[in-house]
Amino acid sequence: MSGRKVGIGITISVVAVAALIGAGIRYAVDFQQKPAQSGISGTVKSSGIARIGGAFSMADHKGRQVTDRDFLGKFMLISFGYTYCPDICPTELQTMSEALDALGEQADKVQPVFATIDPERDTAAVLADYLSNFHPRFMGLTGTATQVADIARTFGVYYSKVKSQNAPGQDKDYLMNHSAYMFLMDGNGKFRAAFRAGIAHDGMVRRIRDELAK
Amino acid sequence: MRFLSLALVAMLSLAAHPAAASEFKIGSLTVETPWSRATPGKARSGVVYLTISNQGNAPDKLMSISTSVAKRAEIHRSQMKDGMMTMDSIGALTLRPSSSVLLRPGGLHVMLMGLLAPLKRGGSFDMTLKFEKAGSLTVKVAIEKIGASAPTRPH
Repeated sequence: MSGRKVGIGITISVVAVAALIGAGIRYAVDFQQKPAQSGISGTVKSSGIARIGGAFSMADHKGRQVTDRDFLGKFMLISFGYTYCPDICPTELQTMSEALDALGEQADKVQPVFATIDPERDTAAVLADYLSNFHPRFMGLTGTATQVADIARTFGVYYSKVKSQNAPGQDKDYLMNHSAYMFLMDGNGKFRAAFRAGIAHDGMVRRIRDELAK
Repeated sequence: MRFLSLALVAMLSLAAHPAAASEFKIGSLTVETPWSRATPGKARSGVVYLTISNQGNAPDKLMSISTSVAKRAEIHRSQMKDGMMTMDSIGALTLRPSSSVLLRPGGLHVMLMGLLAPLKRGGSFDMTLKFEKAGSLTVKVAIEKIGASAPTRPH
């Protein structure tokens, strides 16, 4: 195609993530196509082989300091993105919100989380305002650049700032490339499933129900 | 390869597309249900989704897009590359005869860059599509909620 890429060649890598962890996610996610559902799709089959998750320390969308230990005892459904993301991130948060609605009472056992990979712009207040558009129990996570790099590494999430070709001076309008997976962690903080962007909420609901029942 | 399959999917799934709430025509081209999402806070990027059908028997091309609400508008595609979701500008969009292209969440979309003001739910704005053969067509874009997965309101 007559493609002009605003991608790899001109991105500034903000964080380099352990290739092993990234590879783990790719093994964990089944890239099977489900074309009727969405332009980008995929469902998730399984696997405990990926080492995803671990200790982190962040601030929530109300400015409170939280760590991974505060999430123990409940499942966590966590997505990484940024509020200035116009296409993928709001689509993921909407899917997660619909999944929680569809889970009914079981939704109480799952904490939905949106962790920013753009702490420069996504302050706690910005996250709080943004998340008011989605499921009311959503928790936002932000932090210092180091804290965000740490949690991203923990989950095997890559991200990088895209430098605009056309407007190099307008740095505040930058976009981000980032891993677009949603992770299901159990009450012990252990990885249970990864959902790829574009998955329909009913597929997510089935998998969450299965994992809750184990 | 992924692109080809996506394009094919886009063409095939037209049949299942619900009746359009709004239609704009020029020559043998029809633009259906252009819609956008409200933007949060100070975000300066927005998105527009729509379907373009070419009922003619010759190809056309969507060459450029402009709107008064943003400094620039480009056709982008969200796609997974090396485990990361990227949004690449694809330049002109080819419209094959007797087929349709769907721009919708998670795939092809119009990126609005440098929004001059936040897009508010319930509002609308004009956007002009310039086609290589058919000429220019101005469509009205309805603004839905943040995260909307499909247009909901009648226009």
